[in-house]
Amino acid sequence: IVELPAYRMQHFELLGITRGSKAYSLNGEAVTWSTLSGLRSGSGMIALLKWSEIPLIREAVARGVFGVILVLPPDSPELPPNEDHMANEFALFEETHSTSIYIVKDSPEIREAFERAHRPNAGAFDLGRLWSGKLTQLTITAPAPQVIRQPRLPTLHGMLPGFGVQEQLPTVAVVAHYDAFAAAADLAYGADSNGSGIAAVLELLRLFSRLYSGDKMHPRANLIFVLSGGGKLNYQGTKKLVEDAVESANSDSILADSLFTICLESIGSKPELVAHVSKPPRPDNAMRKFFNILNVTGDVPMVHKKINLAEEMRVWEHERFSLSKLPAFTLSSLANHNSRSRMSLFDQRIDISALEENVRRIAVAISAFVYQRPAEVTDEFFKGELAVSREHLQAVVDFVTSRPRSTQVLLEKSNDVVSSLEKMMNRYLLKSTAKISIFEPDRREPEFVLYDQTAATLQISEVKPVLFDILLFSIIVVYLAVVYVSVSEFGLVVRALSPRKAKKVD
Amino acid sequence: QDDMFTCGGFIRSSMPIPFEKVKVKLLTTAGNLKAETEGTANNGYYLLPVYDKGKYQLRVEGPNGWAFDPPAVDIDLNGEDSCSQGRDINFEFKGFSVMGKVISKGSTNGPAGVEVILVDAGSTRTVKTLEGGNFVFPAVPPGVYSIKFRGEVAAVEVKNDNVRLNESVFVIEGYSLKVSFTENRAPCRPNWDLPKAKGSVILAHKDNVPCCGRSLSKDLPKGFSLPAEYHVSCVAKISTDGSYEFPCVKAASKYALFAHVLTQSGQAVDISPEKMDLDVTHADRLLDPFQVTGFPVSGAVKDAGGKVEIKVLETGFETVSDKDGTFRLGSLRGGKYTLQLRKNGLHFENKVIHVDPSKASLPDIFPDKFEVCGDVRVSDSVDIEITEVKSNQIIRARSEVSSGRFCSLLVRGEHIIRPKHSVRLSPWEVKIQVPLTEGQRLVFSQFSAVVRGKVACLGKVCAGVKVALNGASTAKTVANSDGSFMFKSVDPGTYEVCVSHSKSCFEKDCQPITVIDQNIENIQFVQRGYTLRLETSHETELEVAGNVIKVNSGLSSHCIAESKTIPIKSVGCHKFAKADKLVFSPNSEDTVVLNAESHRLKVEINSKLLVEDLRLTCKKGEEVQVANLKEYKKSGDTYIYLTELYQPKGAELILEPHSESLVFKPPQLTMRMPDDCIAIAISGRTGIFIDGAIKPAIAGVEVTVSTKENAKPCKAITDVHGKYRAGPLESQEYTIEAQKEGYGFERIPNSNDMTAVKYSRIDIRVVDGETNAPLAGALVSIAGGSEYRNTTRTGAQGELALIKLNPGDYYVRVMMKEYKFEPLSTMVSVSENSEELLSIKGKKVAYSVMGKVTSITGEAEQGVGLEAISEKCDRHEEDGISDRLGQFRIRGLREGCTYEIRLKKRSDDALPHFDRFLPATQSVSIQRSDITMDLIVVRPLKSTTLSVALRADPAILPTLRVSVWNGGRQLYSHRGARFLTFPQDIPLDGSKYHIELHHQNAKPPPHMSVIWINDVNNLTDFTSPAFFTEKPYHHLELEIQVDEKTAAGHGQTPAPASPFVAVLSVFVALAIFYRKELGDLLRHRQDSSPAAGDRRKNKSR
Amino acid sequence: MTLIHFLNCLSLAAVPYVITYRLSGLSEHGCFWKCVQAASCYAVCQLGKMLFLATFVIDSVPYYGEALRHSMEVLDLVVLQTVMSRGGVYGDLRFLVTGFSWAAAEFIFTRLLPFWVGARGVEFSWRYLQMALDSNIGLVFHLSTAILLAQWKSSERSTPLVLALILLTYRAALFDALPLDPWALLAVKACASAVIGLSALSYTLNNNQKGYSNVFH
Repeated sequence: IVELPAYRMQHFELLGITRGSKAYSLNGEAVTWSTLSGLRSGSGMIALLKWSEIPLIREAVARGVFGVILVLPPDSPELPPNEDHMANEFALFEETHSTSIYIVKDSPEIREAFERAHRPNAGAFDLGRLWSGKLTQLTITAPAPQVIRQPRLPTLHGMLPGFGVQEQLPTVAVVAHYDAFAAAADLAYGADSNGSGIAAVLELLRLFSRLYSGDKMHPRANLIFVLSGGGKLNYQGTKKLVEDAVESANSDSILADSLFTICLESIGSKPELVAHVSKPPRPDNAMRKFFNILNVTGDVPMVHKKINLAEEMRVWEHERFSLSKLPAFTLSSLANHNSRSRMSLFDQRIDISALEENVRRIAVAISAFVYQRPAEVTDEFFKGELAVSREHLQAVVDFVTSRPRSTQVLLEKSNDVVSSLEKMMNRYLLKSTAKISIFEPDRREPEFVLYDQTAATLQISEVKPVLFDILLFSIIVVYLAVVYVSVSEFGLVVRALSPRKAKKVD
Repeated sequence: QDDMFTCGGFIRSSMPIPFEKVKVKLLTTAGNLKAETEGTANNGYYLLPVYDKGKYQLRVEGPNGWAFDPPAVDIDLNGEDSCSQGRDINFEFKGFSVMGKVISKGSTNGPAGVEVILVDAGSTRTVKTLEGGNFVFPAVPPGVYSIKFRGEVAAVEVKNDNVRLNESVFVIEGYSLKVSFTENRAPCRPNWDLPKAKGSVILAHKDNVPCCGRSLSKDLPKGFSLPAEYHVSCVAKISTDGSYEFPCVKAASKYALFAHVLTQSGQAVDISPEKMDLDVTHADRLLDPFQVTGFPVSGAVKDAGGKVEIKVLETGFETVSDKDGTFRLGSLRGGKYTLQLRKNGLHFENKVIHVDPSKASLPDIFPDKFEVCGDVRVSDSVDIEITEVKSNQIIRARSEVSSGRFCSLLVRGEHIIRPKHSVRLSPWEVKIQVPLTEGQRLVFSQFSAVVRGKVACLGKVCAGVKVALNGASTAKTVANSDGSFMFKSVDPGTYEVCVSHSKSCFEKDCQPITVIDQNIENIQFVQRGYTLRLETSHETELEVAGNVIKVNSGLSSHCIAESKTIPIKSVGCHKFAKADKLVFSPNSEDTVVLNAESHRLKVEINSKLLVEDLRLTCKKGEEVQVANLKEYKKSGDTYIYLTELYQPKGAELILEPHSESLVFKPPQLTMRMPDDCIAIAISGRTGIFIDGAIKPAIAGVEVTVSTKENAKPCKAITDVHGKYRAGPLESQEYTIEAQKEGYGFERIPNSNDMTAVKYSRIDIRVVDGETNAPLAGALVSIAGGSEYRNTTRTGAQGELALIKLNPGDYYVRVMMKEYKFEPLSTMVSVSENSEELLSIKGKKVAYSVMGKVTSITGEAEQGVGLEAISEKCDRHEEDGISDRLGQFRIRGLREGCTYEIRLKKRSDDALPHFDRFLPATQSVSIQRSDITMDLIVVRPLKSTTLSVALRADPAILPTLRVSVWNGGRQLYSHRGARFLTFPQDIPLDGSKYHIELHHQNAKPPPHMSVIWINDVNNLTDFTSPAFFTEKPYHHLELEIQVDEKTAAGHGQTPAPASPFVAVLSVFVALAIFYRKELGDLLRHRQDSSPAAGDRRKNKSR
Repeated sequence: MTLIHFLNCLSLAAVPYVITYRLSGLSEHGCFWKCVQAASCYAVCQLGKMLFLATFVIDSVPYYGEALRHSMEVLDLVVLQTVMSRGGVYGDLRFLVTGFSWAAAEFIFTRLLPFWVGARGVEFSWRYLQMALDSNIGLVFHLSTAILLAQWKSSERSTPLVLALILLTYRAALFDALPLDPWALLAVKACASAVIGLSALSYTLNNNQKGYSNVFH
């Protein structure tokens, strides 16, 4: 028997549409697509598919397959994840699936199972193969997935108070969501989307906390740093934070009157920055001024994507701010919003020097805006002790990508990612500590429903077909008959062996 | 207005020289040029502006070769030096320079250090040639001169510039070679000792270089052959004292010298060194002398047995005599040598021998003294006297403390040995014959005694009196009831017997005794009275039982011959606490305590006048005591008034004498009552007033009258008639001064009146040439008349008023940084009581860089040192510093130069240290206008943040503990977690920090957990690689596996079953298996023995 | 693999026992309890053997452990002998009762549990079938030893008899030593059992004139 970790496909409901499948356990003979396509019905069988065969799932299910196991392509070190792998991953979420779907990492055992499950001419009935050949039996036994009751998604936000009266000083916010999304909840590492964002926010916080505590370096502007939860679930954490700031009367957070908000997402793949805005800023306002500064250290194209009010799903985090009439934009290395790497399990690596370069340019721009100095001066400023620390960025990215970060995993009790992030923020917030705003879906019709049971173990065992048993039974009956006869006729043998001359005397 | 100094003076010259050709430069200590100017054409006056304090050097430079005295002057501009005092720094022109060269024949340069003489009409001057033969006569005033060198003469004429002699004039033929005897080379005797010896030294050279001059011959001495490759240059005879000389040798290299000497018997003496190589450079040479190595000598030592060590002191040659005493000394030359001989038990004097080539053997040598030893059985060292009978001469020796043994070297003959010791020894003296016969030994030993005595006590009972005997050895005992005491086994020697008792005191406390050779019986002590112990805070006199005893402060004890309790009365100047209850009681042992409450203060006031109303007020805090002094004592012509006050210690008193007609010195006296009695004196004298007038009458003149004793001078203002009155003054001698703007005052001798004179004045206005804007802070210097000189700064409107000028013509000269004034100096003539107005225009030539230094947030940064250096314009450097508002201005930058503005490294740490400014360096090129430039300065942030990521299996994480250490000190520790950031910033002081990871329950077994970190295998805790802090952020990845090695092993290893049991079991099994045969066997045995019979029977049933 | 496979194996192993029990007349003579008694003796003997091995086997001496274990088979023989002699059953049934019950006990104690656990499990493997066949062969072996032991008691000890007995006791060691794959080993065992069985039978027959025909009619 061989046991492999198997990861259940992401199973949740968002905006009324359920994703992933309700079913959870499966047991049956493994069959590859090539064999399955030959058979009329695959009932009682488990489809063992390569990653590239994801589009064929619908037909496999149509053939009555009992469950699907997807095998991940072998791990590829080079940076930009393979596009069509991600496309396939996206395709998984096209529609809800009735059968249970598990994802398994590539490994020699699974390849062996592939060979065995590959039966070229399934049709012909030949006794020899029946006798000697073996079938691969796949079994996953897992408890039924339960709905996670009242998930509480924390959003951490802290502020570096400027020099002077807080309320009258201009305020800039820097936001990044900390959760990740992938085909399987336990494979959501999200190194670039949005490990790089988290590292950037923490590094900016570290740098500016040194400036705010430095002698004669305390700028006259407030900086708010936000690590928002529920980013991949339609930015619920940000939505809650913004609504609290704007609507509630006595909101102490001055986020409401921030000049603009910078959202950071996936800035770790290449050393370029693209600004995504819902509507191009007017020439005179602060955001435009910031763009001009940003363009000094290298041009930052602006991509304008109007918010589609009809659709409920937001594509960028800054749209939550724009909806509440707070000026905001997203800086990212990705050219457009629907790039697959934002929601993919293949997003496991970043280019640290690109991230460092991007963070440096953002830091230079923010400090130029905050100190009202030309960018060339602040470009020189962030050198020596104030240089962006690659080591810190690498440390944070390594930490956040060491464990899966999908919301389901984060909600588990033993998960320490959010508490560590909070401790990291407190370390750099000078006098105050990070405040937490909790998002809870409302009772009656929740924005999203999450299911637990994200992982299980797959058992692979070789099995003889049922016919084989029947055949074996018949052979045994024959054998027994022979024994019976031989025992009953044993007397002949005795007589044959007893000595000739010894007749029966009496 | 930044302050500005000036350095000026005159370039003096006895003959007219073009002064404008002479430059005076002001250099910084680092040699950077700060300012330069030329002497003025007419009187060679020069003036240099200096803008900030510090050390500079004033250097005068005429055209090359002109000599000035002094060439440069170091000044330290700090307010007291000659510049800031306005004194002149003058440079004297000495003259031009005359140069030339001396060469040796056949080469282009010549000897150094050869003398050349310059002769003019009157004096001569000599100078030594420098390296290569050049010579320079500096500071030669114009005129006709002649230069002499070794007989050759050259004439030369100096007009208005330097003169150079052509080279071919002075040539040297050759140099002399002489031998020199220096002490360190020839060992303590002249190296040459063969009288009437014949010898010669040959100079040779590979290629034939004959000696110059003609005194020496070239033929070789007979019996000497030159090595093949050499040719003879010349041969010199060796004189009697061993010296030789080659008068004239051409300058060449690789000469060779050989020596050849014969003794008078014609033997060749061997000489070292064989051949001497030498080079003749451009100078005479001194050569090392040749040395003669010599021939062998022999001798014998008698009456000393064998094995005597012999050493020749001069040559350090050592040998040992064989058993019959003969010895041989090697390689000695002629002359006197000293031999040193040594053998234990014997003593030899140093023997002086004369070695002569003719007689090869030495006279016999005998030992001078023999060693004699003995023992003294006494426990310390004893003196022993040994007198020789024949010559009655005494030798002293001492015995050793521990062993008592003594030894001495004695001359042959009869001796008497007598030990000298405080105690008699026996035997008293011994007579011996040196050298001692075999087996004879000397021994001496000692005597001991008993001491007894009696104490006479007053009360006939003297129990408990302690008696002590101290001297060489000490002993203690207590006298018994009748007062007698005894000491046994006392060694001879001087002792002292003392008695002591806590309550009684004796006539004599101690008596000296000496024990020689009998016992001592009759020691007597008599008790005089009882002791009184006192503890007083101050030295005072007390009266007890009629007699007055003087007690000094602290603890003291006195002997009182009273046997009953009597009171103690204090007589001194202190008042004691509880004075009435002080009492002496003989039989109490506790001490009487006296501490003074208050002390007497005696005040004396003496005055020349008899005064009635003299009062002395004494203020202590609020309480005031007034004592009017009536009674007085008259001594001579002064009356002395007396009073006494009793004041406690430490009281603050203010004494003030009052009298109408007296002035007191000091008028008021504040003092603190010391911890003892004290007396003070105050003197009073009559007061004096004076009055006088100013002619012609001028009102508002301020008159100050000051007396010698530095009391405050009193001031008075003259009224409209010019009169004033000042006083009271103490003494007759006083000085009067008057002051008013624009007036000079003279005192009319021996009267209090003054005469006034009005000066004439000049008003000067300095403006910018183009813009006509007033130039504030321009430096105006006026020199003229005999010695008048004044440099002052123009006011805010560029105006300057010069008053108090005597008539005469004055040179006015204006200087301001960055401005040039045409004409350089203007001439003004001043007549009596006249008013002149002068306006001077200046043209801007140099410009300045100014601006504001701020931090990144725009706040001004004070004390930022900036410097502007232009490499192109010969390293001209100017610097500036930012003031409180962050403004800075670097002045005096020359047009057309590009300067680089840099942060100046400030050495003193007082000012905040800046290490970067943005942009890093600014280069600015100066055109015809000032430049403003804003700079941003960054303060260093010297600290780093530390974080640690622990990769371990979650179970053991909570049991870990991470701590940061610096040196031995733990800074911070925290429970293990996957990611840890340490709260404090760690200062970037370059010191060593390291992280320790402790595993909590890694106590010793029951089970031991071993933590592997990277490759460090460490039992309980681990130290990360130490890290130096210089990066702003540090992150450490620690990966930990824990191996739960169960140390207890796998339970009990079973006691090894002994193979014996197994074998037994096999037999049992076989027995069972073959029990049939066994049974048969047994039965078979039964047949043979009857006893077994019946068993077989029932068995067969 | 499945329940069916378990049944197959069980039948393959158990039915021959039932057959021999039925046909060899043991059922008529009602010596069921004798069999149970013999089976319990077998159990006790195995238990004793295991205890003895556990206490005395030391690993230090290399081959000592195995040798001891195999020589323990001798103890089996001895117990078998004693059971036979005191079994309270007379005549030629004695050897049949003890041999059969000995083999049955062995089957029950050593085969049933692995079947229940292994055969019923998911994974298919031939091992269980081989064990079943092996137990059949085991039956034949035990019967032949029983017969030989019977001879041992009643007649003189001829050397072939002793040899056969020793061969039987050390048969497990011999088979282990053969470097064959399972199926070939089974075949060899089968032949060996047949040969020994028949020779034992012929020997007994020759040895005692009165035939045992009544036993196997």
